[in-house]
Amino acid sequence: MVATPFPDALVDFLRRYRLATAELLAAEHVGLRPTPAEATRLLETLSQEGCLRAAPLVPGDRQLYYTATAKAAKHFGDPDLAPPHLAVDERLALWAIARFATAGERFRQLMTAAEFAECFPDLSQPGEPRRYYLEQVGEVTRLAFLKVDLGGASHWDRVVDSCLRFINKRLQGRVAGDLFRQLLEHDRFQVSLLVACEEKAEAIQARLDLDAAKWGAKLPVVPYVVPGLFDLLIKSPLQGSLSRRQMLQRRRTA
Amino acid sequence: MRVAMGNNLATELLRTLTHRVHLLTAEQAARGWFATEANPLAAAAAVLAELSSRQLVERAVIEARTAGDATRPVFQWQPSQNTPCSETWLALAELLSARWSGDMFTTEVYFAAPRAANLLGVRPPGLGRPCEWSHDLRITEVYLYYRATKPALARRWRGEMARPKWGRRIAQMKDPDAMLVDDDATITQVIEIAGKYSAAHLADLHDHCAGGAYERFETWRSGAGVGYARNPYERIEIGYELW
Repeated sequence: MVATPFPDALVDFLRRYRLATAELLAAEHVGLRPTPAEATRLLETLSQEGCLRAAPLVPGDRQLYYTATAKAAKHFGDPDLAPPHLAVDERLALWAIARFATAGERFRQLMTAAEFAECFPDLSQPGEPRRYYLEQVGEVTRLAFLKVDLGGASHWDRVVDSCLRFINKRLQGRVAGDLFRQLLEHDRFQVSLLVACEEKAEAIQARLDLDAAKWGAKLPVVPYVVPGLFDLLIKSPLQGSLSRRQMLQRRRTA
Repeated sequence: MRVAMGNNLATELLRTLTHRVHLLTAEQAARGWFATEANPLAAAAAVLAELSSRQLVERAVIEARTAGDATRPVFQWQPSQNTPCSETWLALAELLSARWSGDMFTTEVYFAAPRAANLLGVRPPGLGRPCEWSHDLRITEVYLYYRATKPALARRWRGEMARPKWGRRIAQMKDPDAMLVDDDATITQVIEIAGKYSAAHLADLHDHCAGGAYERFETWRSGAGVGYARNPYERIEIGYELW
């Protein structure tokens, strides 16, 4: 039983972005509460009732993030509403996506898995990350996939290689591969790469230009700076030293 | 002293160590960024220690020597001037060769850790080789001079680590120590810390700035088959300073 009314817009926000902060809920495009202070009151009330779980976005920091609990997921009949324990790098990536999508100059609504499957049934695969949205570029609307660069412990431009692998992998499927190729050929797809600062965005752009000179085609990757991400990252412990397998094992254990 | 991470000074130091200079002593940091603090050296050391504890900077003790006054260049040239003659290069080479002969001193320095380099989009600069340490500290001195006396130009300062290494892709292309760039990343001024350069080396550097770099880039660009977006040397003749 949930005593305090759980706004539909908050449920929708948590379904799309998996976590919320007071600042994001008060952002102009979301407008769930007019100020961060009022959004905080709502989030704290729902936390006290066991519907939300609060934790610092970065260990030891004051800024809190909120996720839905199993109780809320059960109440709304949506087991996916409550995410598993989020490691620091996962929550920072989710925060960056939510910040970019809902509190930037333009509103970019992330698609839920159901919405993506409905709009792009041939591209949708089980377990596909919920990171697609539609990016308007002039007169053109592109399907966009979000990747987040957290710096990490490897090479500075490893994330560009990761984008290339992502695209190559999606070109391999028989049906989905053809559709994906058409999207690329008609300039209807991009990877939106979220980075922490202008310097990184410029460096990635320079690497993309160099690759284009080398291979004769430009990778459809567009870097965007997420305000506030840099400060969060330098306050957080070093990320990126775990392999994907280690991350999955850790998540299963949690 | 407890330092609030994410403050502008910590961020500015990280930007400096990844995009402008290789090395920084606590004393240089104190002079450049903490001069208004009650105890500038203690404040600088505290921020650098905090950055170090978060694996954003690394520290090392090095030996280096100074090369004299860092408040004016040893030599400068602008496109409006004539090409210097060979006697000029010979005299300059002699002067440069004599100035790196002071006593060695030991100092603790900070440099960007791989984590900071990855975050800010550069290759981890590392500590460099011992033969580069005096040179690297002088770059920092010159940058601090720019910062103190020409802040608008200092904001346009890009160290070689923050630029593509064209010398690895284009034959005979040089990668100067630092450059001033405009809003479009076009190079407007080259800054070089001159080691014990020979007259031939100085003439090559002049050629690089007086149109050679532009031509080499254009040749490479047309050979690559696809138009690289911009020639960073599109001003063709670019002024330079030797420090």
